[in-house]
Amino acid sequence: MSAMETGSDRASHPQLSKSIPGEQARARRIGAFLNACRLNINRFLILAGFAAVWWAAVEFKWLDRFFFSSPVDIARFLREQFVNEILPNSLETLLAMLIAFALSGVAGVAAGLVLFELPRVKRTIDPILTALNSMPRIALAPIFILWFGIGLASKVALAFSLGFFIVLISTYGGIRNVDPTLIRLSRSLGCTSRQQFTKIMLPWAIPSVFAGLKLALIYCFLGVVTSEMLASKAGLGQLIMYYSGILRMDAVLGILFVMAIFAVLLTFIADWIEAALLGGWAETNTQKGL
Amino acid sequence: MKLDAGATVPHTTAAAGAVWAPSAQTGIWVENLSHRFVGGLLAVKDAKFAVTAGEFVVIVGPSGCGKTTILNIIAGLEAQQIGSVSVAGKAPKAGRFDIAYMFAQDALLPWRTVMGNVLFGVEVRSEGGQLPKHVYEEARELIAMVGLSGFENAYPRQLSHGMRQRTALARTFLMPSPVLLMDEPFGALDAHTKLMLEQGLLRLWERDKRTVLFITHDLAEAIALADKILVCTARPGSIKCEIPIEMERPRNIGALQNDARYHDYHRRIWTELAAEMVV
Repeated sequence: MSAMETGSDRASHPQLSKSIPGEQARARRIGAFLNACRLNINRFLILAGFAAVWWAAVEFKWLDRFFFSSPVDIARFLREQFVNEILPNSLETLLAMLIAFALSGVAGVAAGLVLFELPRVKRTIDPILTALNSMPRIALAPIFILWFGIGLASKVALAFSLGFFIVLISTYGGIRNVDPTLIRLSRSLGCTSRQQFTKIMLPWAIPSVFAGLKLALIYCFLGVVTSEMLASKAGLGQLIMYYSGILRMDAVLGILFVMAIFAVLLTFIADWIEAALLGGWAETNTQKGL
Repeated sequence: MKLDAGATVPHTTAAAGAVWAPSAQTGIWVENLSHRFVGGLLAVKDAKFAVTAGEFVVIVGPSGCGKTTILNIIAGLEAQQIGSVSVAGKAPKAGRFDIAYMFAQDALLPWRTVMGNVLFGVEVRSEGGQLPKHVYEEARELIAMVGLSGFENAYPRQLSHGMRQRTALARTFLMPSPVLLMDEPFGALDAHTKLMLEQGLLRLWERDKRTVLFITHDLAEAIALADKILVCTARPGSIKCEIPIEMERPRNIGALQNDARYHDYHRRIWTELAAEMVV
């Protein structure tokens, strides 16, 4: 064929050369799967070992059951109260979180793009945004409760006030940090400003937007729980406040455990969606076997 | 320095079956070009040269002599200040469809496959219309020509540096622009990959006979590729001398080492360049 082809044996076997990226991808997938299995087994062992030591420490009275509870007590609480308390309150919390997350995502991405397109507006309101974003949200919670009442709306408001800025900043940062070489390419090719935006800037910003969305998901969860802890009729945060008030450590720790599981699951789902949407072009956490 | 600039451009090449019939309309003229950067640094001073249609001209010069600035001005990416520049009879302007510019960086879009990246140039220049089927075939041909068959669906992050640069070469050549500007396109590659790409570039050039202005600091590369070499002075850059490379084409880059003329040219250009270098 030609002198330009490297690895002549690969280039002269089109069939072979065609299968190589596919085979590599398959080998990588299998490798990643095995890695994930090993990782998860190790994680389980760490947690199980921790629980065993904890349980033993309480059984042998090295730790006070009143303050530290015990994995067995926690498991009992979770089993007995799952249908009555854990499930309905979890749904309450997750619903508020999802609403806040959706609003943060849509508004944050839109605001990020608008600010990028209107640099003068961005320059003008920059200090205002910084001031708003640096406000301690827990201090805003009472205001939201006054404005929106004790219920879904005030939780969503607090969570939104966290998530919105995260998505806004990551969207704006992503689109502004586009590789200058690509802008040079776009100019030399004669891209219209619309083409430059849709074919270069927007795709460039997607990984950064995703990173922001993943962070916002967790922060929306935190925002909702915080709001529930201050004043609420339902939700995991409210449940924690109730049980810590009556000194039920098994319940408090059990609910914390449920929250931790939610946080891990949400991150996992977000990683999975990210990997599915970005395809092969960006290295994601999921592909790294996390 | 003697420049036969003017209206009488010798029509040297007459490529039968070329995609672009070379004509005086596709040459590059640069006269008394000076350029000062913001901050006052004089980068280019009184540069003057001509590239006739279908000619392969290489600019060599010491690092920082303003070679890239000259190319950027011709491409319209840098505003023209003093002097006159014309490409195919028109003033430079960014994004002219009759100019294709290849950078030292591959400038691939990470979210596009090799095929998607190769098509990108023609795609944005087709103004949103559906690409005709023959463009895809041509793209596939070019990908094969640069030795990337089987990697059409690979993403840039899965490719080596050399393979990415070959993708960029295919993207540049898929655009039917009669004028090619190339800014050290193989500068960051290893010697072996470089030789292969140079040979590939020569083959593509001999097929289409486009007007090429190529920048490099590699003398071997310059002699292997050029019809004419322009030696640049140290900054502020201007053209110190023009050396026509009178070696027959098509050239076999691997065999050039055995050609006495190659070594004569090398010595001559090296002497010119050495005078410009501060060691």
